[in-house]
Amino acid sequence: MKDLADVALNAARMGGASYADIRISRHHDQTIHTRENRVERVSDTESFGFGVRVLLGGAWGFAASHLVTRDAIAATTQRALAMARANQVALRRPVVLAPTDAYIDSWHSPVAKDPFAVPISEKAELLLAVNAAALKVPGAKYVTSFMLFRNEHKFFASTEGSVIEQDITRSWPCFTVTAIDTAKGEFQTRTAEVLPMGMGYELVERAGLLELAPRIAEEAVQKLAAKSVEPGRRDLILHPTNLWLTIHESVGHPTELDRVLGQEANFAGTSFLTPNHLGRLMYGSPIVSFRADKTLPFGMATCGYDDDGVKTEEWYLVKDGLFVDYQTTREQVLWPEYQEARRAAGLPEVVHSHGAAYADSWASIPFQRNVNIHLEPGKEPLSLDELIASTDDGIYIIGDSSYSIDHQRYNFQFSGQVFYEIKGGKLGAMLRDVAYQSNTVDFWRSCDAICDERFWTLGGTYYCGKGQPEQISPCSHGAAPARFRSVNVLNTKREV
Amino acid sequence: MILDETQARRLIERTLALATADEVRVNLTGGRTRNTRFAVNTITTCGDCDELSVAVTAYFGCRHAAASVGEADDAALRRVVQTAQELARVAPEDPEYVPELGPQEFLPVRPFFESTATAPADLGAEVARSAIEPAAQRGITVAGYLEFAHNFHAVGNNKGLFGYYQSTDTRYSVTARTPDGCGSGWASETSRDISELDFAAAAQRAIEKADASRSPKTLPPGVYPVILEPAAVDGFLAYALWNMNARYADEGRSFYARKGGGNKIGEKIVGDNVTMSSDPARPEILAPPFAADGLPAKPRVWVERGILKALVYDRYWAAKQGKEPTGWPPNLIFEGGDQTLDELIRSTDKALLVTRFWYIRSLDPQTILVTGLTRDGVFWVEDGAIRHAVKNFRFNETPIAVLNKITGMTRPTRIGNALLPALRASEFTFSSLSDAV
Repeated sequence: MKDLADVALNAARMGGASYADIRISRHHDQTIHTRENRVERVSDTESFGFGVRVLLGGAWGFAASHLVTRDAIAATTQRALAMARANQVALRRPVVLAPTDAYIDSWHSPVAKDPFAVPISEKAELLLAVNAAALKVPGAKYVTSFMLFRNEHKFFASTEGSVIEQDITRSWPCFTVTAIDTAKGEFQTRTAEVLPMGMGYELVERAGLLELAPRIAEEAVQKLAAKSVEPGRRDLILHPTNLWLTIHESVGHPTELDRVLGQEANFAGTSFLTPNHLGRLMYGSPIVSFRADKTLPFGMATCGYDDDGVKTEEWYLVKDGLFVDYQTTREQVLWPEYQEARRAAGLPEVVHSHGAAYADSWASIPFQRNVNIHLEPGKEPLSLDELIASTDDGIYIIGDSSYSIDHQRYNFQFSGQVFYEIKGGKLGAMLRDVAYQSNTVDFWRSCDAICDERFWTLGGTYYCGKGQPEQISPCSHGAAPARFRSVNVLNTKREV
Repeated sequence: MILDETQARRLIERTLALATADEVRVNLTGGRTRNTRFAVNTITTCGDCDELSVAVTAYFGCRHAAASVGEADDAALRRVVQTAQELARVAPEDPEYVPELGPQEFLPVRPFFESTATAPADLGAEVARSAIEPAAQRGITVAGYLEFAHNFHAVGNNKGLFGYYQSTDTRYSVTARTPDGCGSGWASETSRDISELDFAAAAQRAIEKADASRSPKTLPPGVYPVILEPAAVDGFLAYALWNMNARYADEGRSFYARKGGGNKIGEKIVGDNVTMSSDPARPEILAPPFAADGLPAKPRVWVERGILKALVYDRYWAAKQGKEPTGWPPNLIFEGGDQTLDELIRSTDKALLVTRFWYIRSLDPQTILVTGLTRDGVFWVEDGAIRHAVKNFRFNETPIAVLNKITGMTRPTRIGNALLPALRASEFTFSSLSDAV
């Protein structure tokens, strides 16, 4: 690999590039999809190739090919150089990379059981057994289930001397039950709150899918007869299986420095969190702290080095309610807007990247992507039962569903999988047709209680979308159940 | 990597020769895609990607599985065949197994233009400059994206099926923002023929809209008459189309399910003035002649004068229900009116004019209730003219309700894979305000 990489790096240097890197990577996916008593699809997808990125006169050039040969690498590097040269005509802000150490290292996910080594028949049998267990529940009519395993084997080398090899594995099994009332013409679905993680097949084994199936199916049926919610201002207790997505949308994306400074304006949007807020804006109540990291074991974004070759780390975005930092890459850290805002706020100087660069394929250029971002657990002992017991009029929401937020991350609206009324400190009837709508800062400032670390769990996704061409990226968000006061609750029932 | 028809046929034959399964299908896709991105009036990233995929679907009796690789050397072909066959052997028997198709007749559609296939690699930088320079002169910042691609697709199996086509596509979009952060405008151009596109004109439209959308007034959330520009119609209609699966309807789990069983084909579901169809040979919106399994694409009417005429049937469900398989619509044609957008505005008493929507997600599939937000220009129209910009809204609304309240339409224009008009509707529910610009 190093010999092949040197073909690109030497050609880039000869072509006048001030910096270049090459990623040679193999992406291996395996998926199994089932419904009821049937395996719908078994697929095994492999993609191998390389991407060369060159910096010439302050402009990026990037080219990629599936042909991993010396000749193709040399020719592709010339294409990257040609693009960088052509781009000079529209370059008004040359790229300047923040310094990073050179690393010669390797890293791999902490996988206990290689999911690709588990026989497909074993996986299919488990999913079909889950489906059968769910369908035993009267009223449960349909079930879909799947397993998704993904491995990235990446080799990175740069003109600064880094040579990094990483092997990253992620897994996700899940299922959804549908209950139907044909006479009324109504249906409800319930998706199990099993979320993807940076683990191997051990995630499937510990998820307890078979044990979950009857309860999830029963709840799908219960949703049909559940009480339609009364809209209005209510206190919400959000389970981490719901809260992870709210964190993702209302904390993850607004703190991406490329969005803040307009780089995503044509697609994902910008951010309300302009640099003048650094060190000044109370993003949440004083009990709210968000920690960003790419190092937490089993996190979806966890790796040893990002796709800029920067060693991963952890840092605060929000500390005790105060907004203190962004997610950054090498290209962003030296932007004067960021540096001047830090100085003006009296925050410590940061001249290194936090390591948030990611590319979803060898054919994709790395750019800034959400890392793992966690709501820190409450510092005082507080159980979920105690939290519910101290809530007079609220709704407890489990699982994620509909999610939407504006392009500057102010106004959001989320739903969930199941909802329970809380009256006088007790969990009451199941509700349906619930969505909550708020504005980011109002919402996080309304957080008045967070359960302690015993209740802290990790949620996450494979499919954070951003960029043009759009790339997906994996990330995790941890939280403990938390309470939010007086949030706007909507009823989503509509007659047509 | 582009393979011509002869090369593709040979590669499929080489792959099939390695297989021992009862039925084997090979799908080849490949090509070259170039892209350029700019933002804050400077070029940012770019890409020039050469890709190939060899996908094999293998069947032993009614057990099946698929595998793919991104290489075409002998070792890779042996590996992909072996993987697909090994997985298929141990996959459970599929009670819904459908045999592979034999030879098929395809419409002589060629969604390919030489102009796009031979466009120079440095075109992106020039297009970026054509937006950045006029924007900078007016103190506006622009961000945009150009992508042009030349691809090939081939399918073949051991039952005599073979199909091949090349395609090209170009997509350009540009967002203009005022430096005070109070105005934003957007425009896009898409075509398979890059020579049709006027990139500078699109940038100009976005810049004008950004200027016009400064200092928006706040209107309270509520029910308003609207004019949805074609890009807004595109996003809003999407969930109504994605839910057109006949099986889900027959199973009672979609809007298209009939109370008591069956589906709504033959029922009036939207207004008399709504007719939607697909036609892969429609010149303004050429589409692929076949789907991945080799099923030919055909002209088809989905909704005619408000009546649901067809749903999407896959080959299994079609056979079970005694219907013709439709495959997924290769494109969408919404028959509009004969007005321009300006004429539609001139004939409007009061309405909110919406440029496009953002972050649309399902709230209730039973009614196709979706939520989302306006973006990049909302304007109040009164007495036939745009009066002022309006602050962005979130909406909770269903396209079914809105398609029952259409009071005017423009001639359709191409948006992505669809020909869509701007629509004027008498009622649209906006549920909350957004501070986003």
